[in-house]
Amino acid sequence: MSELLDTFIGESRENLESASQELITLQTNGYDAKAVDTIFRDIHTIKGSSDLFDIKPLTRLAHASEDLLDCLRASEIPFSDELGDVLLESFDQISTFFDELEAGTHQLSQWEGVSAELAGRLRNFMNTTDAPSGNEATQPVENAVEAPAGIAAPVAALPETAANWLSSMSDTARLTLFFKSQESTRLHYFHYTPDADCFFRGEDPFNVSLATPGFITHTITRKSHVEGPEDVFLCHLDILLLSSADWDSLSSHFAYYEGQYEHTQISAEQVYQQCAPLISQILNEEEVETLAQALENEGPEQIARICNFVCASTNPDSAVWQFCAGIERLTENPAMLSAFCQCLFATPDTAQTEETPVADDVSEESIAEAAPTQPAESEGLSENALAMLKQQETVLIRLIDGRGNQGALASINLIVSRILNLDIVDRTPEDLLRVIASEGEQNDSQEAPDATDIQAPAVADTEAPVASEQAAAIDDVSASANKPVAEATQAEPAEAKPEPVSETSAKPAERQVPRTLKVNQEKIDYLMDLVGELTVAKNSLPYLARQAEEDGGSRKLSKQIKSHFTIVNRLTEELQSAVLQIRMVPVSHVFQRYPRLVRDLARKLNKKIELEMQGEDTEFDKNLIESLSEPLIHLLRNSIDHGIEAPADRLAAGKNESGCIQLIATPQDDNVVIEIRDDGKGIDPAKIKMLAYQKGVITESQLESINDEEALQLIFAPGFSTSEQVSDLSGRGVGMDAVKTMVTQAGGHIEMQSEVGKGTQFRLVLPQTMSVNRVMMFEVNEQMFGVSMDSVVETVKVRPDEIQQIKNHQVLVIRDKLVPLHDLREYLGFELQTQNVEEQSILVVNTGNGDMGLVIDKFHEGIDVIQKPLEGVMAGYSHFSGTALLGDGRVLLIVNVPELLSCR
Amino acid sequence: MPIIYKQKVAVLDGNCEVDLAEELDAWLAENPKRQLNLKSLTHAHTAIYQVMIKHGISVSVWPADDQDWHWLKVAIDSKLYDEETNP
Repeated sequence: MSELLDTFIGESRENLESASQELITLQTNGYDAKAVDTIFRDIHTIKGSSDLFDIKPLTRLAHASEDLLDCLRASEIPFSDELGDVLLESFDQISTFFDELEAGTHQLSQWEGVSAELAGRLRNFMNTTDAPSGNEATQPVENAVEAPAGIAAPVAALPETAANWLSSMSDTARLTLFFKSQESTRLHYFHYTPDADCFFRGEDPFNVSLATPGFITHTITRKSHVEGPEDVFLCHLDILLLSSADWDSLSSHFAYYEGQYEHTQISAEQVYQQCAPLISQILNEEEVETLAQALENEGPEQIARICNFVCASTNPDSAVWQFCAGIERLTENPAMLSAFCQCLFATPDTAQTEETPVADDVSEESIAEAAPTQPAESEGLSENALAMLKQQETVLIRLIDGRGNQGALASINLIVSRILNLDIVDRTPEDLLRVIASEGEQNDSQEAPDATDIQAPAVADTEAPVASEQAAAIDDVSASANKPVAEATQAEPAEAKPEPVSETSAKPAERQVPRTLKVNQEKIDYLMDLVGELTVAKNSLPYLARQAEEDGGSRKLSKQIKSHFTIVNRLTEELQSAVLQIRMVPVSHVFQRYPRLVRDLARKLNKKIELEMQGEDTEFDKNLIESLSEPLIHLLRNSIDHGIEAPADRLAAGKNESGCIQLIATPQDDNVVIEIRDDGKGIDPAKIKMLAYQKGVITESQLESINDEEALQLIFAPGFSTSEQVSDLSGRGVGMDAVKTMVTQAGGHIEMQSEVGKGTQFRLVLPQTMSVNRVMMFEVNEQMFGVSMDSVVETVKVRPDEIQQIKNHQVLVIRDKLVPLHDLREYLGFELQTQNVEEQSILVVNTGNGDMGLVIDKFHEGIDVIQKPLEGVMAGYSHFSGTALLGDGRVLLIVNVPELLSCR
Repeated sequence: MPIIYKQKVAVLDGNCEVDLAEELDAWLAENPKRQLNLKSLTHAHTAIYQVMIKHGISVSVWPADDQDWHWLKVAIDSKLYDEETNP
């Protein structure tokens, strides 16, 4: 697989995961415009990139998804669960395509069928006017204005702030805005309220607003109420902004200001309503009487002539001049003029009317089609392709200058060939640059006629003496807006068309792009291994110091080695911490997969389940987090399958019809605790005991003796399953045993609590990182052992007579607390100590079931080690959790205390 | 120097970045009758504009292309209007 394709798949998977996650949120929480935008952008990126690789079935499916999402964004169709399901199915299929591409087993001909079928199902949603059946999760409609005939998309009602703003504008400004809205058919209104601390993030809201694509006008006001001290470095401004650009470019412009703005799409008709009284008033004035008649009865040429005449004879600062200049521009587009006249004469008293006046036969599409500014869809390269070409051009220039990596030439050749649809041949950097340059010329010449068309009105305006004065007459629609407006007018293609990277669209936005570097995980793992080796090597220095002193007799040398050890130790710790930080990722990395899992399984079982997740930001070692994914899936499946009851059963039990599963991650010292709680039927210990007995997991005597808590722990026994009916979800009797093993292997432990009728809670306590462990060394029978420092509570030395005997057990009272003692000589198979000692060393550890004292011979220091799992014949020996290499070359066995103590 | 402070007028020149906001705020706070000369101002950070709006400044000279600054005139006027109507 080529490096480029590899990158494409990697990035697309991230986009796909983000899109799926947002879609689940949509289905759970109902329609959310921002979520739809996010999904649209993700799928748009996948589609754009897949086109470069000529993977037609993939592109077709992504394209259909994108189109459907675009309709959703424009509120042309309502969102429903059924629609969401088909979209999810499509995303799954795209993911399968990626799997096959990665494995190299793909056969595009076989993809055609499934791609066409799914794309067809997606497009069905766009072709039907009736909302598909299913659970209603439609977007709120209370703000929607009923669309007049001919206008496909309903738009939200004009927000009060926007209405107030428009009504406060001067007449000339309002008229200028009105005619601009006629040209665009759709405007975007933003209420941008920058965060108070935005300056500290390097944001400059005024310039963000000014750099908005399709900028028409904005207004800035201070917030009426400022909380707290008025700090000049806290932003207290509100910005209202109108733009005529398409939503794609606007959403990407505002992508870094999520949560700081409210967006409403408004229509030309709404602006018309704001201007209607003013227009009526103007039309009643004597000087435009002939124009009013012409608008009703004459064609564009006559109307333009009258407008020209009126403009020449009136003051350019007047509203009349502004009105006539606007009408004159409309005459250049008969469809728009017609729409305007329909508005005008369909409702003579527009100030009183509530209906949105618009021509029946003039749809938004027809207006857009008639617009001379609309470029042909097939012309030119897509935005993505142009951006990629530009990138390659930069790299090539570096290569020619002798600064770049010559090895990248083949990749560049491939990219350029793909984008420009050329044969892949080995070209020199100079050749490639020439190819790109010549394509650029062709592209320019293709776009030239359009550009002329687009600029024609503007040129005509500037040439006409009256029009040159028009700019000076613009009032609230400030001249600061003029420049961007002029640019936007020139470069603005119809909506949803890929915009070529023009001066306007390439205007740098005020963005704080995080500087990131994607690195192959293997490289980080290798770096981590090296740090591990360094840790072991560093540990040898104290031994060397001792050797220098004892064998070499050089105390000075020993001191110097110890001094250097301190420095090396500090640097190693810092290095280790830095590398560990690189590998730390938030648990959301794994958690984000579960909403879909819960949703799918709940549906399969006809249950209603809500998944609540908390602490997704908690960070974890990436390797560890991935090993955790499977155990968590087991636990969630168990909760869904066995824990949460069917809705009818829950209602009968006096519970909410919908069950709840909580997934909570909490950092706790060097550990992370992950809890999975459900409010299901809980686990009945009596039933567990009986099943365990029937399956031979416990004996008859144990059946009588074990308490409820011990009975619950039996679910972790190998081969144990409580499922009365084995399903394809769980209940095969391997789950909980496997979960415990995986968690233990990751260096953690699992705890469980359950109450019949109330629910079950699993608690996974895991180390934050599995690479470097701190262990406490101790000696038993002249052999060194280690125990994880996390489990060590304290070390105590007591006189033998302080140890008490309760029945057959030795105990020690430490600060009024009874601590059971276990002699490790006995557990490790050594001879018991017979000679009397003055003091007994006790290592107090916590195994999750309270404190226990381990009787040992001698304490040693704590040490950082790289713990390796037991291998070979020792692999199945669970009494030790692993081994570590000491600085002097000896192997340290690390004791798994709970397992060791459970063997007796 | 993007801002030159004289006795009654501060001259803003070129590009005025966010770090100048505090000093300008203090200078305007000392005497509300002080004015700003924006003739050579080409760009200012939002924080600077915020200070101007906060003090409802009086501008002695607007930049040549004063249409570009109409939004600021409106913002300042609205501040003055607020003060007059809600003293």
